[in-house]
Amino acid sequence: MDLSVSIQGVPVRVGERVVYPNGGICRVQGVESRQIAGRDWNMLILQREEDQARVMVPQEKVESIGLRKVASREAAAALLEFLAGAGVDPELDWKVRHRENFEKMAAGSLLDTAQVLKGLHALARLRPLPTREREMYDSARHQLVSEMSAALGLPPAVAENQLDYALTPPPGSGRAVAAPPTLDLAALRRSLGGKRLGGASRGPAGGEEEDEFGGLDAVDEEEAESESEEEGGGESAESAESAPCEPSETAAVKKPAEKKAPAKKPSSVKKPAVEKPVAKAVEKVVEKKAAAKKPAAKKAADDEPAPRKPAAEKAPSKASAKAPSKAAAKPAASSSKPKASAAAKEKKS
Amino acid sequence: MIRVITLAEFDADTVSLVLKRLQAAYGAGVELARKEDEVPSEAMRKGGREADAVTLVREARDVRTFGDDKIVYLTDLPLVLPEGPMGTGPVDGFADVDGVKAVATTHGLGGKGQLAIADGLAKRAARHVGQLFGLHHCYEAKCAMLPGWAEAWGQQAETTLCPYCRDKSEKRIFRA
Repeated sequence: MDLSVSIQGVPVRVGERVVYPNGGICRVQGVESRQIAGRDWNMLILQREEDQARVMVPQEKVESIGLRKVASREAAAALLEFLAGAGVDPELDWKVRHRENFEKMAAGSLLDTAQVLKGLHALARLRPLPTREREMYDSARHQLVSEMSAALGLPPAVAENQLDYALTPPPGSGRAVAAPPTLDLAALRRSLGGKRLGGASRGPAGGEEEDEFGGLDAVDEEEAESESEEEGGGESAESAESAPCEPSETAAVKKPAEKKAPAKKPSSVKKPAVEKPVAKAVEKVVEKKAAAKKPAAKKAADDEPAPRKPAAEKAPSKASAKAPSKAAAKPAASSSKPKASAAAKEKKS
Repeated sequence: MIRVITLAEFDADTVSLVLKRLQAAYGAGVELARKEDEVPSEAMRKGGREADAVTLVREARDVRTFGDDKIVYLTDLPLVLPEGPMGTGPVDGFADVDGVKAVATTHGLGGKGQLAIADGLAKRAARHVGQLFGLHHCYEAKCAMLPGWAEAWGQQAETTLCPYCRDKSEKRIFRA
């Protein structure tokens, strides 16, 4: 039975299956007139197949919310080909990626959902997805499986197998597994606020591989921060400032692996030169701190072995190097001084 | 409760391992409901040399005690599924998603460089039981919901779910 409602110019019939964006497959039950807030509305009544929930959509909003008919068999086959095609480069900025994926899921078109699934699947091959994206991945998969099942007339488990034959081709299928995605370094730097990773001078050939993995760590940290900011009400400015420095630390940790093949990666040879100033600056800071703490340390040294002493000893700074020599030179003078200082004190008193 | 029915002759150790692994994966009670039951004749193809998985699940004996029980059939027959646009890939079982019954087969297991039959059967059964609870395939190499043809599938004999799938299955089981 034709209703007075049409989707994209095609009239909707009772019993027909339609797709509610981000909601799943629904079956049209009819049109009812309802009075809501003093106004008469013609509502399209749908029943969601998954849980038999009743959905009412105002007739005027059928198009705007993105309600659409179930894809054809040809469209479903084309979509599987799309999924089996070349991999995509995932957006590395977590917030941008999440917003884009959210908008695509809300739009609810078959291609948009497939793009979300394919993008997140490609990203999942590089590293585990964060919880929210894992949920979105599962949601996209669920939407696609139910629509493919309806479009192809296959049981959902078989439709999911088909989906995975496309995403992860079985051996002997003649299809090759899509290559892992390459990462957009510009986007990565943008996501880190324009900061460079692990050093200023890095060759395009040698540093790229490390950029990828170092970049992932950095993005992970940023994600963790953004999540904790959203959930925990934000962090201190100090930790926010220190965050961009962490990628260089992670890159520095991974440096030995890079040093193994110096011939292949000439740029990695330059790295120590870049990081040395940083190390020197750290040493200077330690020296200054050690110098500032010195008087207190001297007083405490007679009473008890200060726990900070080893840290001061660790830094072979000039201050700590000079201190013993002064102390060694002083005893002769200090033996004569106490009497003078005692006399001066008596005068003062 | 997950109820297991064998449709072929399996040694006791294999069945015992499958029960233990299913229990460990889902935390639900698991029991062997029937031994060496008959494969429904409607599901037989090619003179009984293979079985249609969808028909087998539809026609096989329902031994539920409670409405939310899940039933897993274990067989050694090669299974076939309807062909889709991507062709027919390897078939290691079938589940009625969000439903009651699933089937897993040992066909194709035990070869060189593959999991042992008992381990492989437990892993296949766990994946199809997961689909009964509404779980989808997972990309985690160590998750029991990893598709059986994935490269990493045979590298992990244990039948464990990844944190996301475990959480989801627990919610489903709790809701049931």
